Amino acid sequence: MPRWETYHLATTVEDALNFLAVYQGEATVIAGGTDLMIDLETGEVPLPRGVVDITRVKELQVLRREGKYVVVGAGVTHSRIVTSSLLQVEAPCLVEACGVIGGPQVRNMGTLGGNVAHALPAADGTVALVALEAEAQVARRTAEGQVVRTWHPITSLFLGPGRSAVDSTRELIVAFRFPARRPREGSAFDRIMRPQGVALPILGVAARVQLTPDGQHFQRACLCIGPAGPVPFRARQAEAVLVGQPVGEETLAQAVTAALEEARLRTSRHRATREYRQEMLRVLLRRVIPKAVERARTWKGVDTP
Amino acid sequence: MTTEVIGQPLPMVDGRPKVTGRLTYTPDITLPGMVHARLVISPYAHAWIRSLSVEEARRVPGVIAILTAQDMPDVPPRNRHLLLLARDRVIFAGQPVALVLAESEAAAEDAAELVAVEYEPLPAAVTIEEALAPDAPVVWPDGLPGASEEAAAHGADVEGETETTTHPNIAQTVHFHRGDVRRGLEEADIIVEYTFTTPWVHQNYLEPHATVVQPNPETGGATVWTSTQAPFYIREEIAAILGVPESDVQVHVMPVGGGFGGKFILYEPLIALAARQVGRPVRLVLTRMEEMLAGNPAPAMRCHARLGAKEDGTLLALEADLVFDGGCYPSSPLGIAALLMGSYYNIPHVDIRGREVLTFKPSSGAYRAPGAPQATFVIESLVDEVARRLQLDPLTIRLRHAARPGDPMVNGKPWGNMGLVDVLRALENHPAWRAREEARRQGHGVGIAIGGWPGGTEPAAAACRLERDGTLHIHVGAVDLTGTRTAFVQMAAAIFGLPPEKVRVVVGDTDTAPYAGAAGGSKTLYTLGPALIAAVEEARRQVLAIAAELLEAAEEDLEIQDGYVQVRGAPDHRLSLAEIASQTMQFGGRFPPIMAFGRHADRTQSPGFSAQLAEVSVDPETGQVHLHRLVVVQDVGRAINPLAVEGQMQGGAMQGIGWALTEAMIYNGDGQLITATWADYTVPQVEHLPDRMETVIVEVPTDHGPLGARGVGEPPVVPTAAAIANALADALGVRFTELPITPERIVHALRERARTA
Ligand SMILES: Cc1cc2nc3c(=O)[nH]c(=O)nc-3n(C[C@H](O)[C@H](O)[C@H](O)COP(=O)(O)OP(=O)(O)OC[C@H]3O[C@@H](n4cnc5c(N)ncnc54)[C@H](O)[C@@H]3O)c2cc1C
Repeated sequence: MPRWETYHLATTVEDALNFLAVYQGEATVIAGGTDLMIDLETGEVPLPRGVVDITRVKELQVLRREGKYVVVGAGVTHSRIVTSSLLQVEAPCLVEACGVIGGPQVRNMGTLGGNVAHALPAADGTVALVALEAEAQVARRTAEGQVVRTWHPITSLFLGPGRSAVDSTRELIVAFRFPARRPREGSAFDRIMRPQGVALPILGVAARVQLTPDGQHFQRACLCIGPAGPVPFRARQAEAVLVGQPVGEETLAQAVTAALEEARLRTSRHRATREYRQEMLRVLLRRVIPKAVERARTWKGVDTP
Repeated sequence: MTTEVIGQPLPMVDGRPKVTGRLTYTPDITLPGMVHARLVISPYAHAWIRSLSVEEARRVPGVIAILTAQDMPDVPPRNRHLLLLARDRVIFAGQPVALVLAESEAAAEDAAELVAVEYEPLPAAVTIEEALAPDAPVVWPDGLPGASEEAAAHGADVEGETETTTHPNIAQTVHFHRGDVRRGLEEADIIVEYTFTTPWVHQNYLEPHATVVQPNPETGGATVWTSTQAPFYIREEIAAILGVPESDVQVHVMPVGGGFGGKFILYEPLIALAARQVGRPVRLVLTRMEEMLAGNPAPAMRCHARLGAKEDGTLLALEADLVFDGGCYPSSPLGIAALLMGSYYNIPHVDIRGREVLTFKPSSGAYRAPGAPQATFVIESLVDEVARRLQLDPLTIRLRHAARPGDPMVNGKPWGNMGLVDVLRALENHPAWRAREEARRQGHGVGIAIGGWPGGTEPAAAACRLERDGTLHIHVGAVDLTGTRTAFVQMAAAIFGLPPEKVRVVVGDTDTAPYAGAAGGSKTLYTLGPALIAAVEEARRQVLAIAAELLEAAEEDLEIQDGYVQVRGAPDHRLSLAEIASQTMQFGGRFPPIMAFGRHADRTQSPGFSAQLAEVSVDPETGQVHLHRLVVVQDVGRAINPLAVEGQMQGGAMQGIGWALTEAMIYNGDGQLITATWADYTVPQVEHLPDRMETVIVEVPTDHGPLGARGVGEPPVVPTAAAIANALADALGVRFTELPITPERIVHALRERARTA
């Protein structure tokens, strides 16, 4: 495989964007490289002239609570997410999702930003972020050379399988943020892996639910399923079924029915049939939602509805 | 003989350099002026090559030559490794079409991408069914260029009848029968009948195929470093393709990073020809994807079979129609599979017809007990199902019918000395079997299966000499795949009377080493061991003769202990081996050097059997299988090094788990392998390991192996898939007939059962 001309270790967001600007679309961002290197090998991504490594940019390594948000830098690796005590409390679904990505080596290298920028509908970290209703901060350089940063709902980043609205030859995802855990709120993630294969799952589901102060009804619900269409799929009808309804078997059954109706599950030959995915969606929702509820009930704050 | 060192779990002699990365494997070899090769492979399973242009590729800086069929001798491609480079037609996706030679690997790779080949795709028969269709595309329309030689290399000469073939894609047939199967089935109270299928499976050794060939312009021959199990066979084939005497080809016996039967010969002749063309050493190391596309994996099987039994469990009749998909050359272990299927049990009426069908895929190679896991999955599922339906004890029914030594196999020949009954009895006494009811109460399923391998034979020789420092050198020409060198050290130490540290095994090359056959067929220790023992005993006699003179004692009164020759009962009256050896290697010395040879040829096989128990549970919602226990019982004759033996048992069973639950090479309708990377093809991983893997070594000594030992490598992979399938049947009440048993297949089967219940 031929190689690029320049490999640049950026130290700041500005530095990285300047480098990209010089190459005018012929350079690209590399984080852990666990997706990019494979795409280059297979020719899925054309060989760039320049590559800018963003793993040394401090700003991208942030992981903390900021006011009502939890902020996770785009360069944070899955391993760091898995061992973060903050995220274990604030976003267990993200911890669970990143914890099953690849193996230890992949988790040590792969980043949350790369997972999102790669834009696959079943990327595990991405599925969890959608359920957390995260936003992404994207930085770009204006014609005048100024760097601007803007927040975007995460779902607006996906155009199709492998197609991101963030142009990694000109733009950078700096960080993600999502609302800190609300009272009586819990989240969970689970997936079904292919027996053949290590990379993407047959199906993954993340749920974030908030209960009413009496703990008996759903107040809010956010569900993400992948793959169920070209982009990470939010099961809004199933969410609507949950909200206001009592926690219990009947509500759960209705939500499953709604999700099965709205999710566009496909047969991918030799990987999984549509029927098996439907079966597994049922199983996963029945595992993930009750687990999120259970966690919501362990919330120990002062209840001020 | 001081036997304390026999049966000791000595660590592997090459363990340290292996785990510290210091062992030199073939890809580590670099030679002055060495050229790097890359294959240009066909993207089509079947196509005409309309044109091939190397202009652009040749312009890549560093490219030395680009070879095509025009540069190759026009030999009939009797065998896969003689396909060399495709002439005008390709017959599998992955077949080499051109070979790029360049100063660097990167340049070769770049240029390989620029070789422009124009193909005219043709219809390809990919499955057994497609290949047998009346109007199927024919793999060899002008007839087969020749039969495969590798089957013989695995000792698989099984003497079944062959039949006249009726379809041009049928490459070989076999027919075993005894009794009157129709009558047997008529007399049966119950008949279980299924069609079993197993997919193509890859050996997945860690080190890919790698070859370095240095041409010898003087002789026209070559020196070869290659990752093979069969150095002497490589010598034979390279000499043939180069048209030189075998003596002009020297093949080094290299450490091999896994072979499992998949590394006999593949691209060595091609690289030897390339090296001669450019007059420089040439190196080829396959990528993992090339391994998957263009290696020689284990063939797929389909078998329709019926087993009839009396109500009391007496097995009466077995009828089977066995088909192997051999890929583009006759290469599958048809005969041995049919033989094993019909011979584990004493069944009066048997009729097994086998066919090998050619398809547009790479040809198959040997894979650990070739044919046996497939055949065993069939017969062990059937026997288990008979027991299940009649509510009989599955172990008892097996014990009742298991072949004893001397019982006839289905080809009429008697079974040799073996411990099939003994491994079953050992399993019967194992806590996991005794606690089966308790396991069942927890919702687990418990299943058992047996399986074995007849064992191979081949003439072999070994040499032995005593060095000046008192070290004993053993010279052999066999590749060490499994720890055989360590066992050799133990045997030599025990027989000679030395501590193991004072024995060194020197692995030579085909010029210097005594002959040894391929390391395969579970025969390295079995055949080389007796030669080695003879050599060491002779060397010992030579030492004692010298010592008798020097010590002025009778030879019968001498003993060798811890590196000293001493007079029995007078340990002060002694000489060190170093002192004796130095007298044989000095100016004006009195005695000839200690140098001894051992030779061995014995065509008697000593079959090795394993009985296994799997305990599983299943998540009924997702179909995920949890392996709680896997008990691996095996008759090894004599465990010279139990550590190595257990390693073989565990490794074999682990590969068996792959057969059972995870592994499949899946080809799409066009003959494209869609599981060509390890992201898509699952070799069993840590998470697939059972919670407990227990090994039980049984020792039924054989008179033919060294110190009673028999082949160990192959048997442990044989029954695992069947044992797991039987455990799943026990847990779920569903008979699985398709490997691998994936969660999706389990969920599907459970849903079917719910639907029909
Ligand atoms: C063996 C293996 C197993 C895997 N298993 C899983 C799995 O189970 N689940 C799963 O979801 N994924 C899996 N992956 C995919 C991958 O590891 C993850 O998606 C990972 O998070 C990607 O991050 P990265 O930092 O390596 O991205 P990179 O490969 O560095 O980048 C990926 C893409 O994103 C762009 N990019 C990266 N960072 C930024 C940024 N900050 N701003 C803008 N663009 C950016 C790059 O230009 C590139 O186009 C697996 C990969 C491998 C090799």
